[in-house]
Amino acid sequence: MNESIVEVSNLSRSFGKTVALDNIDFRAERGKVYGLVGANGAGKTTLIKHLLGLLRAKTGSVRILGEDPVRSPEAVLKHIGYLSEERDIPNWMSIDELMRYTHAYHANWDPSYATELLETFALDPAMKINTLSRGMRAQVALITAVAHRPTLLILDEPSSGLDAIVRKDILNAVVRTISEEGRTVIFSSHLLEEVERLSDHVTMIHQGRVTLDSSLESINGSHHHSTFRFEDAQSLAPRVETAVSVVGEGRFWSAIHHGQPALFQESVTKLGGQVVESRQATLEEVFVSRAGRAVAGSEEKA
Amino acid sequence: MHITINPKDGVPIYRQIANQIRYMVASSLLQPGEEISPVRTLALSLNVTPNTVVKAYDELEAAGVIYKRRGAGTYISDAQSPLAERERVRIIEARIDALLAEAHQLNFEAGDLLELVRRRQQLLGENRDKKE
Amino acid sequence: MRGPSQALLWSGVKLSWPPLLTQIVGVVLVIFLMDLALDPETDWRTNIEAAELVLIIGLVFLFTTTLNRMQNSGRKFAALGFPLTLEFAYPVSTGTLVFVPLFFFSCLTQVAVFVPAMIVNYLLIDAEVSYLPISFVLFQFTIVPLMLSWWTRNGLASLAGWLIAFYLFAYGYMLPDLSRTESSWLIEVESTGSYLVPSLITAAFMALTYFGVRQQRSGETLLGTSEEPFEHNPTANLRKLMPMPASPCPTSSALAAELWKESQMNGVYRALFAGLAGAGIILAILGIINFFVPGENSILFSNATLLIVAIYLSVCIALTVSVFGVRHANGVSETSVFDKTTAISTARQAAIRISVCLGSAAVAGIVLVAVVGLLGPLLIAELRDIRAQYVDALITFAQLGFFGALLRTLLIVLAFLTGLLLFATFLTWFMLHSKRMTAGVTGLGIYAFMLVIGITVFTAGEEFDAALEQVARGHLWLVVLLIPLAIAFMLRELLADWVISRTQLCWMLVVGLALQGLNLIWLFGSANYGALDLQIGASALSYLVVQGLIPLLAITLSLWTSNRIRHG
Repeated sequence: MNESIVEVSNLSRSFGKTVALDNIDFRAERGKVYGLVGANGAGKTTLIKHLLGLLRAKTGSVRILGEDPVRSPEAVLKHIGYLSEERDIPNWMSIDELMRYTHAYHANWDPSYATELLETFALDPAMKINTLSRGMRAQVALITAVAHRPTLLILDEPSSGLDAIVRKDILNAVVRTISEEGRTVIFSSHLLEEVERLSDHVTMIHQGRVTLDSSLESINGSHHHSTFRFEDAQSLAPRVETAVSVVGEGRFWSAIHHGQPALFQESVTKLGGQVVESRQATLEEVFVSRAGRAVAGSEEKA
Repeated sequence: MHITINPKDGVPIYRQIANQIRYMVASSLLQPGEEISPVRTLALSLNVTPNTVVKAYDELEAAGVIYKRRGAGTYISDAQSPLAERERVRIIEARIDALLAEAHQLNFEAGDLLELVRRRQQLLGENRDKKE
Repeated sequence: MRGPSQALLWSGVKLSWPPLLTQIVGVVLVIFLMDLALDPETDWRTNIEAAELVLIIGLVFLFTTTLNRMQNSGRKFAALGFPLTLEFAYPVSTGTLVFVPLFFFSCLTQVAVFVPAMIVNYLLIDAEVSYLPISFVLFQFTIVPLMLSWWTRNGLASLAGWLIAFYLFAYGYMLPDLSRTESSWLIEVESTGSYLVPSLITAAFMALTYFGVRQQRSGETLLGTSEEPFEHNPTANLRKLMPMPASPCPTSSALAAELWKESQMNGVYRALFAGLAGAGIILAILGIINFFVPGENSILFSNATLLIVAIYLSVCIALTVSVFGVRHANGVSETSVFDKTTAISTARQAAIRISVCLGSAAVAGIVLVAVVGLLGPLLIAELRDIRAQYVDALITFAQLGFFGALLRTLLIVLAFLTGLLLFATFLTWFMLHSKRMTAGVTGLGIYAFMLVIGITVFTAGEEFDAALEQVARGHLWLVVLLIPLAIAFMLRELLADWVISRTQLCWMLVVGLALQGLNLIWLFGSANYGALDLQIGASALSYLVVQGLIPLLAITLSLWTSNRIRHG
């Protein structure tokens, strides 16, 4: 069994009356890439903050490399590179000053790597951080997270709100980090294409609960998208075995189903329909079917 | 090596990579003994995690399409191998299956379909002759 | 830079050296100018307090600028709690994070005070200095307020902390037993043993701060609720706290809707809350004083009045700071794009905002006075006499006759609200970082400050009145010319930008003339004329003009500011 870098068990957290996390278990092994997926406000950032000790685990436990991040922040945080959702970096410094400042905190900081990344992103080190655009800010914050070659890289929505070019740059920098031996990456995103490109393992969080937690391969392999049709128009969404969500109207329907495709096809045939086409579902389709509101034809599917 | 991936088309990324390499081998765009990009380079150029490329390469290696030389890169296997031949057949068969499924959707009989194929082939052949 | 401690020190130095240099140079310069401007026979040694005042103001400037810039992105200016939130995610111990900046700021104060003081002392004042006691006092006055603002994010807990510290300072627990030779920098300490208690108390505060910051690092706060993941609008919280019947937003006109929105955000709730909170603070402080110094005359009329005025002023400032919708966040000034793009003219928007804001200030004042006046005497016996005195004063006032009293009240309220508006406008300009405006106002401020210090410190009694009159006369002409010019200039720009229409302009001028008329009536009313003791003539006339025009200036300035904000 692979060494576990992160071990979260029975973690729950509420803010007043709002339940942010509900009995979460999460485990990250060394060398893999973990995608945290969920709608806005599902609990991804809350979970991430627990990993960094920025929130204390009131029920349940969080262990990074065997240590509690709240008890021993110094020991844990030196192995972690963190990109926060707000890109919390001091506005008054220049880029170069921020690099030097972060360098002082991290023993493994590689100045040449930082310079190289700055050049790749075409950033002038003399620029003041409060003059940077949103994209540049994210790039700078990313450099401070990866330049000390951390064992664990935690990215909270690394490319949200960024234009396509900056997104590509950031993705690329992340891929570079991943290709380095032994690095573990945990990133949260609601851009599912990105998750599909980068993750080995996907954890879906919906309203504070884990609804899906397995390797990307098995999620893709076990979820299918099929289109099927009926001779007569259907007034209600057909209830098909193993279907997670059914969409359509009249004679033509499509569904995302989970598990044995044969069972699905049998069920459709039993209802008097015919499967037209079947393929593997994309992560986006799986996500929407599981977390979205399924609006099917004239009736909502329970 | 020109590979594009589309995360939206429902086919896993590693399989898209593997399929495209297979296709290039089968259509002689990649010659036997030719070196293909190392894992890291391909991952960076496609913006996908290296593990995906590793999976694609592993699959191709198991299928005998490529082989890895210890510490000295990855290369295309010998074209005369029956596996490459099987690959060509496999690709065409996949296309035919798709065509058959579509034809069924559109309510074509098998016989009509074959007739159409022959007619189209004739037309294409005539056009080619006209050009030359 | 190697290591977190060095990094923290580096960032502190980088942030503070420009204001530090300014403070040192500025203080020395100002004191030299004062020396030049005043009577050469004046001996500094008898008025050493003046130099101290300059030093203190310089210190305040230094700290506010440095601490403000230290805030990371995402935190509002002057938010409670530990400011270095980015570093929470860095591999650095909480101890280092807390104590290195504290140590740095203590050193900063020492440098900021001793360097200019020694320069000035050597060149001008030539007084003897007791270094250690002064150093300790400076240390206490730096480190304790810092810790008090850092240890918790909870407003109420913080307030309690401040009150406790205030009490400890007031009863001498925070400083050793000192005796100061009059007008000198010689301070004698009773015994070295008397340093012990203050040191222990400071150490206790340090422990408290350490644990408080540790809690904040993991998302909690001492004596408070856990951090909310999303920042709530404080007004929304107030609306939840005080369930008042909320009327639905009117849909008939844009004006009415805008008025509703402004009064929900900055109106009733905030006014009520501010008034009640202010009254609460006043009563708490009076109660504490009464508790520890029981007996008759423990609370003097003047003290109580001063306290009420000071607290009410703070309340007013808090209420009017955002009247133009400019907030200070992320180290940069921000204005709401939503407000800028509402389908309502700048003049109307500004008018609504200002009237709601000033109305809130007035309502808060009424609530504050009512609560203190009604509840105070019930809780604290001594306040009954004070209330009786106020009531007497009111009766005397009322004997001016209905119209006389009304006029007087109107003018006082008008002057007060104008002052508030001017303050808010200037503050907004500061926040908008207009360099020319800042330089101009700073220069003006220093000039006015020096005059005030000069007069206050170096004259007394009759000399004081004479000096005041001379200054007033000397400057009045300037103001007489300046204010109408400024108004004309701004009105022209407002007309050019179509912020106000011709009709609105006419209305404004009519109102201005009406105010002039009221001033005339007041000034020439027999009961009031003696107040200023100025001979009728040029001076009185110019005074009239100024007093009547200032509200118009304030309004024009506000319109101009709103226009600038909206259109850049």
